[in-house]
Parts: sequence; C-alpha cells; structure tokens
Amino acid sequence: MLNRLQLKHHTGKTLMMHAVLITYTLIALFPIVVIIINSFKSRKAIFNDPLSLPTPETFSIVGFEQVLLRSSFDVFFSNSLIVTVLALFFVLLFGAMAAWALTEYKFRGNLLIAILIAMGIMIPIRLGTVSILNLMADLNLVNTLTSLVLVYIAQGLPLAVYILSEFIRQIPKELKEAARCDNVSEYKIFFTIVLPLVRPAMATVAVFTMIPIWNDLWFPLILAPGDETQTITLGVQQFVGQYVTDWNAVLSSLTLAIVPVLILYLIFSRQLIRGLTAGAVK
Amino acid sequence: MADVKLNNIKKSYDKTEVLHGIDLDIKHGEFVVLVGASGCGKSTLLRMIAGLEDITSGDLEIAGSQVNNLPPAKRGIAMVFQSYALYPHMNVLKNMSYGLKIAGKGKDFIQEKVVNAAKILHIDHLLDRLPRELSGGQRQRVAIGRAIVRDPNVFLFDEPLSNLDAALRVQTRVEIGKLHQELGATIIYVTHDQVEAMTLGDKIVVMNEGRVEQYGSPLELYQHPTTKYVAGFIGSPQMNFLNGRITSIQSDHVELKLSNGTTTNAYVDASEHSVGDEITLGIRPEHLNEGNGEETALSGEVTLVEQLGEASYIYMRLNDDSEIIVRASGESTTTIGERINICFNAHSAHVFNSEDRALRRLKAGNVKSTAELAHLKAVGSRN
Amino acid sequence: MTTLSTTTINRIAKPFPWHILFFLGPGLLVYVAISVYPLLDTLWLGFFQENETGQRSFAGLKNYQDLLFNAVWSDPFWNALWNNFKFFCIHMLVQNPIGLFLAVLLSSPRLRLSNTYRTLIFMPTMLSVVIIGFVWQLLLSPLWGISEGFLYSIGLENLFDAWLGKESSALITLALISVWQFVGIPMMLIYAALLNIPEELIDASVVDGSSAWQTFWNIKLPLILPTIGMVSILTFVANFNAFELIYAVKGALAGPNFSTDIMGTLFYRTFFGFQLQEGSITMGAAVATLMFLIILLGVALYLFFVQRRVQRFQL
Repeated sequence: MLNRLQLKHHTGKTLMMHAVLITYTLIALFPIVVIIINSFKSRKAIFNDPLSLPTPETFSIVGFEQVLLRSSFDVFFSNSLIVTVLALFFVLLFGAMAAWALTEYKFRGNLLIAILIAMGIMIPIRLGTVSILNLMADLNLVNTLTSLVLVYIAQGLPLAVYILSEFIRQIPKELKEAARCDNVSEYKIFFTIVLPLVRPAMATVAVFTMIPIWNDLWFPLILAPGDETQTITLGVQQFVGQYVTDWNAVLSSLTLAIVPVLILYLIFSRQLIRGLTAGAVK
Repeated sequence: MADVKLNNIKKSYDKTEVLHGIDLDIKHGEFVVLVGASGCGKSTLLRMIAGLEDITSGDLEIAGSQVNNLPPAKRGIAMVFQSYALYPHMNVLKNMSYGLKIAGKGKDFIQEKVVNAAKILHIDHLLDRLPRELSGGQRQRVAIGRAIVRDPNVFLFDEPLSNLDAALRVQTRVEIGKLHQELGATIIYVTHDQVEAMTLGDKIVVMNEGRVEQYGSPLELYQHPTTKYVAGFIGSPQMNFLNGRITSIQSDHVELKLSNGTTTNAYVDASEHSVGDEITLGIRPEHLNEGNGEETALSGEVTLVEQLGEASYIYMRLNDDSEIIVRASGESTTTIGERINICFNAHSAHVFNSEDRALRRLKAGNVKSTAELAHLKAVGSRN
Repeated sequence: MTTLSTTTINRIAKPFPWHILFFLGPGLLVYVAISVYPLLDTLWLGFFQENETGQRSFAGLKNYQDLLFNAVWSDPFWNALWNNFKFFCIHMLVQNPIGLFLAVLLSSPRLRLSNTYRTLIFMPTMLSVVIIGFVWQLLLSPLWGISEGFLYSIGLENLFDAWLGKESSALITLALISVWQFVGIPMMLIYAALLNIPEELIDASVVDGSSAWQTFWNIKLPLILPTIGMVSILTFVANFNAFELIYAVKGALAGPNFSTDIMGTLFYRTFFGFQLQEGSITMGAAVATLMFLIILLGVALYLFFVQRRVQRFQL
C-alpha cells in the first residue's frame, strides 16, 4: 500500500515536471513557429487567423517572391557565408597556434601575452569601434568583407585560445617528448600531433565563434553597410525597415533568416550542447 | 537488536533482473563482508539496504521491522562511501554534524556527539578544516566519523579502502576492525578484495552474477568452498584446478584419474556421482610441496619462479599442458626450465563436479588450518 | 671527449626561437592590431576634441566633464546608464532564476526527453538578436493582434497594451524579450554544473536525512555558486554591451522619448549622429571609454569578490 502511494507521488511529480518543461518549450518555440507558418500564408489569412497552419486556400509564397525580387538575399547570404567561414578558419588556425605557443614554450612575456589575450574574453571588441573604423578607413577597407573578417578574427581569438589551451595542456607530455627524441621539428609536432588531437575542442570553439559572427549587426552596419557587402542580418534589418508594411515580405524575410540557422542548429545541437556542458567554458 | 534480514530480495532495471533473490540473515554486532567481482551486484545490494535504490521485490528487515519503503534516514543506518562523499564546501565539523542538524538536534547535543566521534577517530584537531585540505586517510576518517555521530544500528561501507594507497589501506583496515570491536555495531561492508574480506569479516558473502554463491565464516569459505567460484576467489595465489574423472567410489573417498595420467585419492562424499563422471580437482598452492614426500605426486617443467623471501611461487606446466602454481619454501633452489616433482596430501584436495559444485569434504580440517589462515593474513598485509 | 663536447654545446648561443614567433605571430598581430590597439586608441581619443574643420586638439577631461555633468550630455548619459542598469537587473532577476529552475528540472535523474527539451529551449539563443527583435515586434503589434487574441482566449484581454510603444513599459518589454531569447545560456551552464556534482554526494545527503529541497539548498546550490557567479558576469558584460535589440526594435533614437536608450545605443548615436544630432568621434570615444570602465569594474568586482570566495567550494 505504502509502496503504491509512493509510486503515485513519484509519477505525479514527474508529470508536473514534464508539464512545466513542455510549457516552457512551447513558450520558446511559439514565436518562431508563428512567424514561419504565417510566411506561407496570404495577407488576408495572416490577419484573419494567424495561429492556424497554411491550408490550400490560404497558402501563398508571394512574400518570398517579393523578398527575392526586391532585395539580393542570395548576395547577403553568400556574404555571411564567406565572412563566417573565413573568419572561422583563421580563428581556429591562429587560435590553436597561439594556444600551443603559450602553453608549450617558456619565453619572456608569455604570461603577459596570455593575460592580454584573456582580457579579450571579457572586454568586448565593440568598445574600440571608433578606432577600428578609422583604421579600416586608413587601410581602404571600408565596405569590404575583408574588414569584417579581420574584426571577427580578433573578436574570436581570445575565447579560442583559452579553450584550446585547456585542451592542449591535457595532451600527455610523453607524446611530444617521444617526437622530440625522434628529432621531429616543432612545426611538425604541432601540425601532425597536436592539431589532430585537439579536433574535438575545435568543434566546440567553432560553434562558439560562428554564432556571434553570423548574427552580428554592429560591425556590418558600421564597417560594411554597402549594398554589395551586406550580411544577412544587416540585409534583413534594412529590408524590414524599408518594407515594414508589407507583412508577407517581412515574415518571409525573417523566415529566410531563421530557417537555415535552425536546420544547422538541429544538425549540430548535439555537438554544441556537448561543448557547452563539457565544462569547456569555465 | 539490530539484526538485518534479507528475504528473497530482487532488483530489476526495466526488464533486466540484476539480483535474483538474495536471502541473508545478519545477526546484531556481526561484521559481514559482501565480496565479489565488479558487476556482481554487491554494491547494488548495499544501496538497497541503505535505501538509495528501490527494492523490486522481497523483504528487508532491520531490527525486526520491515523497512522496504522507509527513507534512508529512518532506517537506522549510516553509510561510508567509496569516494567519502564529503561535502566540499563544509568544514569537518559541519560535515559531521549535517545529518544531526537536519534531524533537528540541539546545538550542544551535536557538539558533544561530533567531538566524541572525532576523538575516537583522532581527528579532533581537524574540525575546522575543509575536505580538500585533508589527506586521503583523514578524509576517510571524517567519512567514518560522519557515520558514527548518527549512532546507527547498522554501518554500511561501500569499498571504503579502494581510494587509499597500499600502506594506508592496511593501516585503515586494522582500524576499521578495531572500531567494530569498540562500537559493537552491525557492519555490512562491500569490497572486491578477498584479503579485506578474510581479515575483517565475521561472515563473508561471496556474490557472483546477482546471486549469493556462499555465506559463511572466512575459515569455512577457505576450507569448505561449496562452489568452484568461491574456491577460486578465496585464497592467494588462486587454487589450482586439474581436470579428471572418477575411477572408483568408496565410502570415505574416491579415486580419481587426472588428465595428465596421475591417479589420486580424494576424501569427499561422492554418493551422488558415479564412476566415469568428469570432475575438477582443486588443490591450493600452499598445499603443494616439492619432492615426493606425500601421497600424490605430479611432475612438470618449471616456467617461472617468483621469490618472495619467505616463500617462492613456482609456476609449472604439467605433461598435459595444464599450468599450476606451487607455494614452495623460501629456501627452494628450483630454477626455470627444471623438471621437478611435486606432491600433496590427498586430504587437502577439493573436488568439483561438472556443474562446478563442490563434493562435500569428509576429513578436511585436519590440515594445519590455523597456520593456513595465518599465512592468508600475512599475504594480505603485503598487498 | 665527453667534457669537450658538452662545453662546446654550452658555448653555442641558443638560436632565436623562430618557431614561437611563427606560432604566436599571426594571431597576436591581428589581435593587437584590431582589438588591443583600437581599444587603447579609443581611450586616448577620449581626451581630445574636434572643431568644425575636423582638427583635433587635446582637451584633457573635458569630454568626461561634459558627459557626467553638462546637462546636454549628462542627461542622456545618466538616462542610458540607469536604463542599462534596469535592463541588467531584469536579466538577473528573471533570466537567471528561470535558467536555474529549468536546469534543476532537466538534471533530475531518469527524466525522459530531457535532451529534447534542452535542445528546443536553447533554440532561440541561436538566432540573431535582430531577427528575434522583429519577431516580437510583430507578435506584440496591435496591428496584427496575435498577443491580444491570445490574451483574449485565456480571459486576460484587459492586460493587453502596446507595451513596446509606451514609455513606461517599453524597456521592461525589451528586457523580457532578451530574457526569453537567452535563458538557454544560464540553463545550459547551470545544468552542466549540476551534472558535475558527484552522485555519491547527493546519496550522502539523502542518507543524512535531507529532503530534496534541503539537498538543493544546502548541497547543490553552494556547489554551483561558481557557475552562477560566472553566468552573472557574462550577463553583465553582454547587457552593458547590448545594442542590436534596441536598435532593431526602436531604432537609434531608442524611443519612445529615449526610454529604451542604453549604453550601446547612446554610443552609436554619439559616434555616428542621428537625425538632428551630429556625430563626434572623440565624444563617441569618451562614451566607449566609460563603457569600458563600467565593464572593467564589473569584471574586477567579480574576480576579486565572487571568484575568490567561491573557489573555497571547489573539491
């Protein structure tokens, strides 16, 4: 009897927990779902019945047609892709190299450099925007994707160096010492032994680096607002500002910005969450 | 009286049964050791007694009342964990008094209890330290102290020595033994180390694959193992096993022919067996001697000699390629590659049938039993 | 022979460590040139003034004097700072407790589907703040009426208002939108910290007789305190650096009547100018410097008080 009572209490508690979690999950998803389903509806249906799924009568992709007609989403998209991929590549490469140098070799100024880089984790690069714009103007890089790539490399490096250092420190000394006994050069040790070993950490760093770059509005707005160099975030922001009354177009542009990220997220969520929960960021 | 009774206790996770009906009767004040290889279910059983795991079916009684559904704190038990599980943010005093505080005991009462327990364990000078400022041995004492202040009927120990280094392990083992004498409480102690089991336990429960293989005093397990598993588990080095057949059955002994051709007697009750049955002969390394001085002789080639000083372990291969270990005297001059004869007294042989159950030994116990146990403990203290 | 060769080796000067330069050089160069130097340059620029012809002259602390005490500049500055502080407080009081609560639920043993919940609740965090800003702007728009309809369906239609448009509620609404988006971060970090607590520790407290609530309060919470401290400082830095949400939803003027103006939008307007206001590089640099000092102060407080104290709790 007691047993059954306890069991009941137990399931009741579990049900409560599920109820709370499902409620919160709905709160988290509802706004996004509403935007996406309405982007596939006619203007009338959007206003008459915003919460229902598109039906054959209400289905319409006029919004998407408008977006593609009036703005160059393909250009925005490829700009974002180029900037993100290039910046990511260099953050990972330079970050791993710097992390290796700082953890492996003893030299004068080592600690100072490490602290300087660590400060970058907490101090946002945005605060130097005034001078960054001056610098880019001097270098003739305003309204180029290069300026964005450079800024994002500088932005991503501190966290990358920090996380990768933690991992490089865990590589057994014996591995490196064995290689040195075989007269393998320092460059080869890094590229053939260390880099492959920190690959799992690279995945974590990649996710943490990629998201802020892809989503950033500040630097595209300030360094590269030209039509040819707009990233997707800036492009959507400008588009929505311009066609604010065209609900079909606005909803479609938001959907176009949301869906690719969501697909990528669902594919890589396991990796991302593992990175977040592995205590890589302490 | 804090007897602990387990009556057909079973445990399943989803549909897999991991404990298949455990019966145990533990008397007040006994020191009972649950021992077995990892994964045999001994820790699960201990956690069920503690109340940390649900009991799927069966009855658990502590001090005469059924406690299946009582929360741990109401069972009159205290537990010492493998990792000590000290609260890292509380000092020793707070760690030891946490349970009493939860129970709503008064400040003075708690203070007195903790100080007393700390004195018994010689940690009274450490009360304001944090766990991370303590050595492994000190943490261990605090964990035991936390158990003592609760005044439990039953102490549960989950492999408490496995995180200590070898020297400290022996020392702490001795202290736990003394503590048992001092407190007089019932102790249930889980370990995978047969030496700990032999030296500490009044009774030993050998577990294997979710079943109790044998339950008895250390000497009983050593002299009368009821299964081949227990015979192999208790004793170091392990008992030697040689295959053979029964060639003749007499009222007080059987005659066996081993697969290497040797014939021998064994003093066991084979009334339920017949001539021609396959058996396994078991003989402990310490019951084998060099030479031909005893009833049964074997010969083979020496493959390795380990010299320990007071004894030498001779590893040899018999003609049929079976391997055996001999515990010879420390003065033995045998070297690798030599062919030697060894012999044993047939009274010290064990016989197991094809289901690995032991045939009851008829005249056992007359073989230097006290000396054997002393040897066993000596081996243990070296480990 | 042996002695000879060792002394020769000792005499050879160590070769220049080119490999260190190779490994450290590229990253350090980019970082110093694009992050460290501009920041220092910005701090330096804050001491200058520019006249109409664009000529710069050293002005000492004049910019800061204006920003802090001259009503033309100081009213917007103190307004933005105060708003930003409110923005941060709402995050601390709403986002982090909800994150903690969800993390505790998710970490309960043998909870089915916990991975799915985790993944879905974290989803909005992935999206751009700008997109999220627009999404909520549409949802809360009285024109579309989704929120109104929703409140009507649960009988709370009286509560509906143009929250984003009102001076009294716009900032709170924006802060709550931001909370909605980023609650996944504290949830995930605290969840990880909870999983890192050894199970035997929880068992020990159960044996000691503590209830689920007592175990949480006495054992788990102290042990995840370092993580909560970290989440707080991350929230602080992110909030005092925020810009996009306000800019996307309310524009650079942070309306209505600057009621949603925070340091990020103030910095943008000061630097670039907007409508009637003329942009000033040096004044922008001064605002950035003050933001830097605020963030530095927060980080320093965290390092000296919070982190030093919570280190005691580590195993």
